[in-house]
Amino acid sequence: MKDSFNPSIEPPKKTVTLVSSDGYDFEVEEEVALESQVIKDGFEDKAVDDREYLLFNVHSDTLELIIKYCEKHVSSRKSISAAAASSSSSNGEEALKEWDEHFISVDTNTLYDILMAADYLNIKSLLDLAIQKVADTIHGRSPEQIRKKFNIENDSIIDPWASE
Amino acid sequence: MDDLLNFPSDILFDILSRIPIKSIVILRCVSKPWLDKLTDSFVMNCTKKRPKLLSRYIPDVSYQARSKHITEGFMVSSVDYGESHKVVEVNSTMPDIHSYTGDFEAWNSCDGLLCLTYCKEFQRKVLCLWNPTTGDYMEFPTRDRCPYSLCCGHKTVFSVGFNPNVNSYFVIRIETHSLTCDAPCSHVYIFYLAYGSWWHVQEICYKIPPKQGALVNGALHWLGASCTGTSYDLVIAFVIKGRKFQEVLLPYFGDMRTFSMDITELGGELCLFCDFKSSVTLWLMKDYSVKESWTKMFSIKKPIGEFHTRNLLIPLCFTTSGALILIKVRTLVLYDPKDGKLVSLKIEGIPGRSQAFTTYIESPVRIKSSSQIFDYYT
Repeated sequence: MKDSFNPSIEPPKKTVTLVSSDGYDFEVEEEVALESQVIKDGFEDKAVDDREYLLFNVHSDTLELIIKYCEKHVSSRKSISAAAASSSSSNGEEALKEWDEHFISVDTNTLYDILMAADYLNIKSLLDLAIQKVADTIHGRSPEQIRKKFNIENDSIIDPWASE
Repeated sequence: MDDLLNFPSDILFDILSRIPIKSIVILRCVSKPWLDKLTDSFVMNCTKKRPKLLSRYIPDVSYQARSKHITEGFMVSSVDYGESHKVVEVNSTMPDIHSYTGDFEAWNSCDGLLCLTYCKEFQRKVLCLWNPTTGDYMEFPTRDRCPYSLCCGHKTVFSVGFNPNVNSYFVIRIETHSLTCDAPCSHVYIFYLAYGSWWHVQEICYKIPPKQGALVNGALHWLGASCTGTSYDLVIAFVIKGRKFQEVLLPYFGDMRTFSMDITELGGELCLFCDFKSSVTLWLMKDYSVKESWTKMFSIKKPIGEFHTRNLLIPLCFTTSGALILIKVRTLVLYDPKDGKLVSLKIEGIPGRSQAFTTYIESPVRIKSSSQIFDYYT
């Protein structure tokens, strides 16, 4: 006889171990790791018990942030769809957007690391967020402000419309 | 952070594609490596996906009263034709073409340079290249003088293009004389910006009606007719690199009788559209110069009661959601291929009727130093 589905008993959560470039292990839930398209693709090819991923290009500081982002997105996706199912009004998406905005408000070095990691791990929403942030950082700034922001030496005075 | 220039190029493109072109150009001042990186061709590649729609409005007194952007009955403005349908930018830097409202023509554009003709004082017709993004423009005479004393009132078309061999933008002028004229069928003249004068290039045995040309795949295209023919049922291509005229092979229409046809550029491809009895049918040439690649895109049912209006619909561009914007007798309409409906397109902030519509891409090309963009074409 089959057991009837009982929502109060959850199956034990599967976990995946991510190893940063500087050798730290991060144990995360499978569905959080699957936010990365690269891990997802690798997951389908791999043997079932091999659950360790070496991320050569991602430093532990950055990986921590990335995991934080993925966890937040997995959990708020669940609460948004739960709210939709019970047709109760929720501002989940708004709140997530606000959270994203706060999350990406980091110094330029961290932003660069997040962007490169999101590109490497192929996390589309995070990459989009980071690229938009860089674009916003550049847009509307004077050359002097950009030099300051990116630590670039002022080497000439140039007419911006001069071609090549 | 690392210098922005060290980003992988696809990410750098993505970043820059989210910034207005004027802000990108300012980035050239940041440092020498940035100046070297952000060439005209590089900037254009970043913004290529964002064409603009330009229209010149028919002056409307009630509208003028409300708008500060009108210069003596003229208004040239550009809109993003994304989902928002809103005017995002009204150009204040436009050629000084006030005081005469008639006889304005927007012919085509190349790398963001628009080719316009209009009348200045005392009906003196001038030709103008204008980059609406930079505000840069240059006027020059439409012709020197007609060498034929008994010349008829010939018809003229203009188009702008770029010749990589000469490394210069140029305007081509084709004059079509009537059969009673003592001049041969059509004369072709070219004005290279690098040389600064009109050159008589050749004579051709086609009649070219005064309609907009289409710049596709390094060739300019016009509707045409053979010298002795009576109907405009050919598409003539001017291959810029070889300076050669040739006919473009057309799709097979079956036994459908066309009232009229015309060509335009649509999403980078050559588009042929034919007026049939009850519909307007669009073809795109998916593979340039391959006759078999003409692909029938849509058949738009004509609205009832407007069956026999010639050139009822002229395709202009696709919206970001895949609908098609068309010109319908001086107004804009939107065709959604999903439901096959044709609805009038209202863009917030601009009046309904216009005298001329055209599209262009944003580009940093300056007309006075415009011979420097060669690497874009190689």
